[in-house]
Amino acid sequence: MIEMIDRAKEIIQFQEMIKSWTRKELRTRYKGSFLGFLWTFVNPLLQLVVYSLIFPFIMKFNQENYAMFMFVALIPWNFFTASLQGASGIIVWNSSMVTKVYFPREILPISYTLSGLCNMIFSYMIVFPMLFVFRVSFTWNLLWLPVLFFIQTILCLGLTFIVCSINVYFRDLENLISVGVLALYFLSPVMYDITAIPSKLQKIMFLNPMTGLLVMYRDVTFKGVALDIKMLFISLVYACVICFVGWKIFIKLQKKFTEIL
Amino acid sequence: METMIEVESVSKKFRLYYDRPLSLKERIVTGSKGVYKEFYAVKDVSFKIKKGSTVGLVGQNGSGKSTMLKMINRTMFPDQGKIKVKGKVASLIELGAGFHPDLSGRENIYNNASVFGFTRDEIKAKIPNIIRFSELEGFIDNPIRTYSSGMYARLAFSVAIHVDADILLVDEILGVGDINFQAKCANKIYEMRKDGTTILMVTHDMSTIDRLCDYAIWLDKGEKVSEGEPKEIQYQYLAFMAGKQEERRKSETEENFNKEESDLDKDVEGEAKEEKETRIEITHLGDHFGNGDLIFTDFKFINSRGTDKRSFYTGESIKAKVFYQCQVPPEKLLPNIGLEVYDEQGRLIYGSNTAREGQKNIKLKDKGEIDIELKDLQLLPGDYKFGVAVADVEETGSYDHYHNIAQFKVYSNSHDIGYVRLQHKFVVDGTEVESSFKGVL
Repeated sequence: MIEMIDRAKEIIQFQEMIKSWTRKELRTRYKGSFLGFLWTFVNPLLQLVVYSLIFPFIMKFNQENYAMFMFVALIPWNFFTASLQGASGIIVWNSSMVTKVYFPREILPISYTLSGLCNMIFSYMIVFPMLFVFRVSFTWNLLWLPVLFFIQTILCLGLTFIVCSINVYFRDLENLISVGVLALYFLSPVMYDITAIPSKLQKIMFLNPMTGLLVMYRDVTFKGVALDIKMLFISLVYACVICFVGWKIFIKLQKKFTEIL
Repeated sequence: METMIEVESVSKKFRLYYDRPLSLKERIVTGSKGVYKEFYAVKDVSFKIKKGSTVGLVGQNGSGKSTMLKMINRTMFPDQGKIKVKGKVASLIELGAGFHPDLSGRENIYNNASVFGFTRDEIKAKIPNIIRFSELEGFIDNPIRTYSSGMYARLAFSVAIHVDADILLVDEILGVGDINFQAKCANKIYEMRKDGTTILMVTHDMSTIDRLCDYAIWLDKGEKVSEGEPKEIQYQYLAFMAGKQEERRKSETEENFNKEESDLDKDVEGEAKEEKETRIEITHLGDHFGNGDLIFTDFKFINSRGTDKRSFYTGESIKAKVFYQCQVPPEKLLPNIGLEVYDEQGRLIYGSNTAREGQKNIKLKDKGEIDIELKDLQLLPGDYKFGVAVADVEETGSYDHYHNIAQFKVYSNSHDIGYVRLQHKFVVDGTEVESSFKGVL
């Protein structure tokens, strides 16, 4: 525990590195392309166009405004998958730095997660005008969004810690994860509403840390209803536990990074 | 004095995998963790480094010096022992950590400097100096993928050197940019040294240690052999290295020689039966030419103490022993014995022979030995080739002639340049300047 406090202090000292690496992550993602940083907005917009074309005409769902219904959950889901899939390589890709320069290793997962958060926020900026276009009513409940962002960031950080450090030892993890993520996608209420699931199965679905968050994202944006405070609290605790355990694992594993890489 | 780095009986073990299974499947299927051998990269090493000193860590490849540096730099952790480091550490080990090719030079300076834990304002204050030092003013806003490798290195070095660190770690000597830029870097390091920065550098080039450091630590096979004054360590190290080379050479030539000797014996017997018909061919001494009326059969270098050696200290007396054998009656020869010394590239440094020195009447036996003594060898450090010949007095042809019968090494604490040390002294306004040059050990 004392070790963790010391590390936390050091990480705060390196906050400038977190900032500049987050910025770098964001800036270099679309560097070299014609639209550049604009892609951060264009990408989700195009996704929305695809969904709103496909679903009403090709696949018929009963859900009204299905594209929007799905979109508000898909954006957080993208952040979640990035913290599993993209995160697996962050230590390995930066091996030249990790093996040769000292800095608190946590900086890499932290800045990666923060760049994911920024991306999600930018994507949500598309959501607001779209809610208007699709005539979904705005409510004060939208103000819960920052809280949800916060909880999800903690959760994603924890997962990133675990995935990126274990992947140094078992490179197979990357491949396992991409399959796992696909399975989770169908087991999470992204494409469908949680209420469409029998209540017995619902309990099992809540073992997935994203389930609660997805339900709440949809409640406050698409449905415009107040969220379940109990669910919010459980999600927060769940995220904190994962983050804590993830950090512990990371601290333990990071000592041998240089030797293995 | 304050201790900046304290290394306390530190050991680091590595696993050398013969074939490291990386995948989970392999681990499960074979049920093993792979075949590996453990070895100590660093074993029970302790030392202290005082504030403001410049310390050199020397040793051959694989002696554990780079591992040591990595542990001090906290990219690796010791298995046993403790390392205490005070203050900010900057390393010139990895230059350009985290450079991104698509970002401009300025943005990369920013990212790179943030790795050292600076705040935004601190970096902003440093940027003009860094850019000026790198001499890249005109290109600083271009993406660095457009840079040449020299420009890249200059930028990286400029950032690393502007980190106001308390401890600077340097791995090997910096081959950055052109000669002017290198000189600039060296000056900057001197400056930092003057300002009280503690410097720890790793190298296997002893002359750097002697020139830059005020203390040296010598590691071999992960263990500390000795530490102390750089000069002292340098002597020990060079003597050790020379000894090692000697060993290798001896074991090589012995093998060859044993083989040839048995051939030689046979030949001699054969010659006794059918005179002149068969002539002895000598191959173990290298390339040679001549009509073969006289041949050299063996060669040896010995130092003043009579030991067989191939490396000498400037100022030492050496003796070359050549064994000869005449294949015609010796009275028929008009011998003229010569010696040659070449540098590594084959440039003649010195040559002479008995005829040129006025002796045209030397008598040889059927079999014998010629000694060539070089008193007070004033060659500067380097590799040299020794040549020997017996020609006729008119120098119209050689009986046997080697341009390179043996190579030898010269070492010393001299930093003079050229080939030969000329005796000299500097007298400034009537006072003699003392030289640190030591002759024979």
